[in-house]
Amino acid sequence: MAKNIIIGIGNLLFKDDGIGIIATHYLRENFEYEPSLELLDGGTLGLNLIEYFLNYDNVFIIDTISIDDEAGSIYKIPSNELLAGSGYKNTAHEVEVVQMLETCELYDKQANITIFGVVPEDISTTYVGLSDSIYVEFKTLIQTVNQGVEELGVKVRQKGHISLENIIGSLI
Amino acid sequence: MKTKKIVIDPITRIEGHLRAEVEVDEAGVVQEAYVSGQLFRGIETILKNRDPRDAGLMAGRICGVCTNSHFRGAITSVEDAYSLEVPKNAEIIRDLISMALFIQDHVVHFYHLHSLDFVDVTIALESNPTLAAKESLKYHEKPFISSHSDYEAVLSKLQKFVKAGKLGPFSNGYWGHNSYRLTPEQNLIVISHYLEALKFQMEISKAVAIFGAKTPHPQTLVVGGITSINDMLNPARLNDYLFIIKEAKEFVNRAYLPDMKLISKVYRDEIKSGVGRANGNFLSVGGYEFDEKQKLFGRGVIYNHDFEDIKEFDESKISEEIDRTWYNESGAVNYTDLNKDGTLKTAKNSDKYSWIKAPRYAGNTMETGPLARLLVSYGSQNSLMKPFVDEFLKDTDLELIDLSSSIGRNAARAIETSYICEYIFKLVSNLIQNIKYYDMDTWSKYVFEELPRDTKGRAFLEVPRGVLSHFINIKEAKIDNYSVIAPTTWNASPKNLDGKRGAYEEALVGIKIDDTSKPLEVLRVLHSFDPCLACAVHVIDANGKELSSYKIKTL
Repeated sequence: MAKNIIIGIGNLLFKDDGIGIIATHYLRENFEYEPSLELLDGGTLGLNLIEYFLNYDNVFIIDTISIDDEAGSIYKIPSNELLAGSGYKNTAHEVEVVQMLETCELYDKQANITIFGVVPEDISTTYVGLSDSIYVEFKTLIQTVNQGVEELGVKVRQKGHISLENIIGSLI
Repeated sequence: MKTKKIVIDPITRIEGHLRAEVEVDEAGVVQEAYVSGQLFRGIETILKNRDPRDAGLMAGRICGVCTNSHFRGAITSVEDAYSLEVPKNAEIIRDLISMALFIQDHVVHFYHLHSLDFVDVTIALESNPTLAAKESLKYHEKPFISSHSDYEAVLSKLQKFVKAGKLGPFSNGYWGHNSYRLTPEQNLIVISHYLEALKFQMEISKAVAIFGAKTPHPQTLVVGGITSINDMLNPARLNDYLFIIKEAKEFVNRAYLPDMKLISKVYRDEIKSGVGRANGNFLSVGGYEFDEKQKLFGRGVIYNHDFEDIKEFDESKISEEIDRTWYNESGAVNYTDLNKDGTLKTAKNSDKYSWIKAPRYAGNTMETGPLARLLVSYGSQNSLMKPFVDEFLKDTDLELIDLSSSIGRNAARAIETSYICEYIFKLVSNLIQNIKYYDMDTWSKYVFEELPRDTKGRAFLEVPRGVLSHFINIKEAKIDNYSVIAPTTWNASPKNLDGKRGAYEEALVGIKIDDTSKPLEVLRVLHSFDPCLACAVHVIDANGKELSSYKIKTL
């Protein structure tokens, strides 16, 4: 049986940067998966990500992404697209997820990794919660992730109706 | 004299919001340095008005790498505020989680965040695996990787990458820089360990998770004790932990420490001339009980490299100043912006240039971290640590003062890792001893409503990067005020009106930069401190890539 995992990445304390964490908790409380899959509140995992990249068959990552587009835009990107063209770089840059994808290339086997990236509005205010522009797109993000899960042959069933407000409330 | 300004930003390979500006003369020698934290954290504000019992979980979110350190810092400060005694078992379990993190952090720091400042992957491509196997014998009699066929496998892997036009994690680097001095074989040895270290760090995070329930963001610490009692009482879990540490010890003693000896030999002249030396003031708050008489780390203060004279640590001497930081007297944000060309405003000695506050000990800037712990412990005759230090110095023909340098700082970190791997077993046996005598307490009972409503507390801990302090003020049973001084706050401190340089800045002054367009020497100095200013946001960087076809239209 395939090993699947959804990992939310980000820093909960910096407003929209918490989107991955919040989405992971929302999925856990409101949906059931058959066969089951893992949901991980990855926080700022850094190098530990590699363990999941190497030991799972399918990895979904929910995170903020920096693309020149409107806040709230959602992208579903196969990981190899993030690597394409990332050749020689002169400076060290903080690219946790991308750097870990690069590191994975050193190994023969790795998961199919898909990034669900949300363009953030505000990742510098210290606040647990989301900007309005992210808030209105949240349902779309959840649907997109669940659709991706179904494409893996996993059945998705809604088991609860806990609101986004309550999920955020439970985290702070 | 004409000086030229070089800007380096960002500095860290993974967690990063640190910027350095150095002024060099015509010969490329650094005359002055300004190090700036580029991110406003404001963690403290988020804790205000919360239940003190929740401080740990929130503080643990400050950073994914140091999550356990802040988690423990917050909980310990709350326990201090309420004068709660933590049962011995709980203290040991907390130490076991911390110690596993020390090992993980140090190994990851050296190999994945720092080694590529010394190792040139492109040079490794020209290596001879048989000679590499032979070379490795110079640094350990039973090297972690000893066969030439293992080295051949690594080499062919690297060649395959380069052929495919991919350098993977090795795509960041100033390859070809003339301060890369390792031979092709030495490069191959360290890169092979780099790859092994990736596996290593996956294993060790399992050890953290045994008592921490999960990593990152462990959840088993609570005010008054711990909750992972079943893991503590389960011999299989203890055994799993010990097994992982045993494997870790092999890697540390037969790969990490030998690699530090190798680098110390190749860069001997830099060590001897003190490249990367700060002002010689060191601070360690010590801790980690080994037995009734001894702790793993000594507590004390050293001034001006006087290793014989260890002063007593006095917490009332700590102050935090804001003269040149983006705050005003009342602690409110007072951002004064950068120059028009994007550089830091530093022309006047009152110009503000950092978000990092300026901690001082009796008015002095201090260095904290593994080197400070080593020097303070050594100077206070810590008989546990001393043989580890002496052996390294003997094998490399170095003196204690030599460790106060960039490479020495790395050596101190490796020595400390080896030391912890040795004594962690004793901590486990302390735990077993306790349990054997039917002491199974893991939590001190208290009734929250009966605790004082107005109180304050603090915690001083040694964590992988150095001294961490958390301070809490509680009013009406809610957090009224919270503040954190992290290790990097000490080391990366900006100047004050006093003009005193922090450890990073001091360590940069006097180094020579060969090619100002490739300031590898600056990175080497700063990385040696293991900078972490994370506490940060981590956005996937996709700028410059055409990704519009992946955009999700509203469903």
